[in-house]
Amino acid sequence: MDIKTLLPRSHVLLNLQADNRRGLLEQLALPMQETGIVANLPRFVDDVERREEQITTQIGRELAIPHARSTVVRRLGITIGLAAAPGIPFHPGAQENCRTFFLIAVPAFAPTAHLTLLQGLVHFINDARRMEKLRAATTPTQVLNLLAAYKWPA
Amino acid sequence: MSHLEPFPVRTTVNELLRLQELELILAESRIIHASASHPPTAIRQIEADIASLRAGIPMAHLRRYDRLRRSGLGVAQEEGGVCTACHLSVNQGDLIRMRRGEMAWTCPHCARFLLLTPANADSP
Repeated sequence: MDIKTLLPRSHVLLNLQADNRRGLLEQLALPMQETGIVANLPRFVDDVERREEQITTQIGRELAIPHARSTVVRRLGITIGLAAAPGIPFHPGAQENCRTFFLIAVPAFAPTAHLTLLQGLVHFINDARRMEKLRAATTPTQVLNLLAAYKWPA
Repeated sequence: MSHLEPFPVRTTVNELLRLQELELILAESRIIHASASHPPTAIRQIEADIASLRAGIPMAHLRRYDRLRRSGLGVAQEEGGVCTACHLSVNQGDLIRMRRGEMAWTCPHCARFLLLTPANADSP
């Protein structure tokens, strides 16, 4: 998997700020709308919200991997967002806020296209040192270099 | 022409679509919550919902669905006369026959179960 193809520089957002999850998801989805991956931003965000209602994608360690299959997604896409402490509330029942977000857009016609990406991401974020460096990044290029240096599953 | 009996129509296809969605969510959740010391209890609820749904679907349709799922989607939605899985147009005559319950709700091109949009699914 070539993460650089999936993740252009414009899909890395630093210093995210939002009052609620909806606002956060809209910010994360916007770059994918601008690059033509998401054809209809409100509908895509609705689909992500519906997916969150099934089971949260907040996985602890101030991380969330929101994603959804949607008919308004044209191809697989991802946006990474970092927020400063104290983070942004994500799952209503969670004890902690989130500071790192990976929003994945999955086309409805290829509903398993993202599973390899998810596996790679989980492996990446399970390395505490890598995540520390990611959170300390001050430019999108630093984020991209960290992700590109990781050996992604094929 | 041979059909599964009874035809898979709205109720069955709706259930299969729900089943497919839950199976995909379960696969995703098993990946992202794999390292959690306390995986969300919702995972067990999804497993129970899947078992319950499968128990209510006729075996012949379920077998066919499982075969299709091995290579990806088992059910797709129709939008504007097009199967959203294979992106091919479904003949209007076939859509009308499906709507009337005279033909199985399956895509004539990719053979997946096909959920018609309400506009095309309303009975005359």
